[in-house]
Amino acid sequence: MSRPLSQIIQPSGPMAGSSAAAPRQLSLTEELERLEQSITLTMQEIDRNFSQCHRIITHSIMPIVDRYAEHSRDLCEGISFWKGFFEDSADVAIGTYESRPEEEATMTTEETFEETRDNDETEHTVDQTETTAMQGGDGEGEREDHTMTLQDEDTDSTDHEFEDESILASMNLTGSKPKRPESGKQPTKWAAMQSPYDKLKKEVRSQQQAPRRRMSLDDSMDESMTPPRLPASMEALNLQDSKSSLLDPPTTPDMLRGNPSSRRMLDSPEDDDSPFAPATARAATSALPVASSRRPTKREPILHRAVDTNWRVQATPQRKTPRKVSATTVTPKHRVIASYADSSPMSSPPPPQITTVFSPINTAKRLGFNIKPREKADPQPAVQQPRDPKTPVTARKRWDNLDPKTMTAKDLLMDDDFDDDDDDDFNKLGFSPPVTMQFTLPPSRLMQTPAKQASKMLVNDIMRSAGFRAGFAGGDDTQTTAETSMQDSPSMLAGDSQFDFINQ
Amino acid sequence: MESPHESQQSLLLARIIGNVEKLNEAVKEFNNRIREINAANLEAELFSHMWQNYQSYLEMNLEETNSLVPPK
Repeated sequence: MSRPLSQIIQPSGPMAGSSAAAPRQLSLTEELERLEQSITLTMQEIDRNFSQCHRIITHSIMPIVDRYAEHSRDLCEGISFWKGFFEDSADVAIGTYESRPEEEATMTTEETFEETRDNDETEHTVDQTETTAMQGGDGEGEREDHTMTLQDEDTDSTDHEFEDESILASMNLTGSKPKRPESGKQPTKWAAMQSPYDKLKKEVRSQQQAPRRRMSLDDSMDESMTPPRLPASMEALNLQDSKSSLLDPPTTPDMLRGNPSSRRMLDSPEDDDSPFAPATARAATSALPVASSRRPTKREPILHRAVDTNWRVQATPQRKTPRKVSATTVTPKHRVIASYADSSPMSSPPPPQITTVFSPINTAKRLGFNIKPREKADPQPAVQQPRDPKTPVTARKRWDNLDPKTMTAKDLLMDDDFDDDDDDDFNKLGFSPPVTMQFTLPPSRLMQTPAKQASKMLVNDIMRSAGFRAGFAGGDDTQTTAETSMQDSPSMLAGDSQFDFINQ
Repeated sequence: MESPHESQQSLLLARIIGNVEKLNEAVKEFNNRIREINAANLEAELFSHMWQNYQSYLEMNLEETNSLVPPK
């Protein structure tokens, strides 16, 4: 404690003194003092560096990171709509979650694209088991066991290979591909494809001429090389690929585009002859993305290496979507036709006409009755449909069994979810119960006020009154002067009033 | 006899430790923010993959159906 700290912080004095004293022959005490001072200076330098690092991080980097986060947030907000669009199109909900690292040495953080998309008939749990296994795996042994499990599952559940694609292919964007839906079970397809193409190759070689034969030979070589190429690529992916294939662009179209032989294979005349040719083309188009898309599920590729976190992506199927329910089960009983859209301008918006929508078989029978059925105040078709599993076929049978001579209005209007409360009403009211269909209209529709027609009505009233005034004042518009006609002409009045009304 | 440099160096060490702790906190905060940003950007990355894949499939489909019109 001989010197204060502020004196130590000023390094120029002792350093200069020590450096100046260096040429001289120093004693041991002086040498020790010099070393102590140099140690102190070094520690000061270290302290200064640390504080500078902290200052740089807090004052320079963090604001930039904050701005980056803000822009990234804006980007995500802009993306959310289109992401939802793709998710809805694929009936898949994509979520990201954080998991702890598995391998401390090599892979500290990795992102894996996992999807649990399943078919309508198969339960797809391979990726979920991957997720749980990878989350549970700590050491190397468990990692190896997990990879073995993955391989077994991949070999066993081969029917999921097309569904076991990357998150990109799982977006059901392949629905636009015309040849996609038949690609259900790939290995059997490979097995079935091998021999027909050998046969086809032999046929082509035997029947066609030399240039034709050369082309077909190339095609067949390309095609015949494709099936073994897929497992080989998969094995190579399993052993060699440590990077994600998702970082690569989707290989199917690119490879198809870049590979003229494959394109020629698609356009080759053999495709028209052989029934296997579309399958080959389809397989050639789909095998490569399958190979590339199966990489993530198999290898769990690393997209980003972070410090201590794994960011994983999980795609879960949206099974019970309202769109599916409405498409499959909801069959509207009545159709509401808003007739005020084309009504005359003088009429107020009338209540919409209700026409019963039945099966097309008995349409002629029902047309004669012209019955406007009474609907319940709150039909709720989406809720009522699940408890009534009757299909349109059964409804059609019911209509077929009806006798047009003996059937009553109740038979005609008997819905599957017909209330018993309405029976008394029918007994009382007979064929023409009062129609109170305004209640069935959605509020949004009711809120659509016919402002345009109201404006027409106003304009017509003004025109009529103006014409009446013109006729009353001048008797005849054609005999007036140009100025008076410009002032009193109904058309001008109409135009001005329309313009004013629109402006208002 | 206690060396005067020892106390100075101990003070400096304490100061260094304090600075390192602050720096560690700052780096932790930085990492947290970066992690959040990465999580947010992961959505963007997924979307970019989706869109790229969609474009590829669309282009391939148009090429196969011979309905791909070059840009004018």
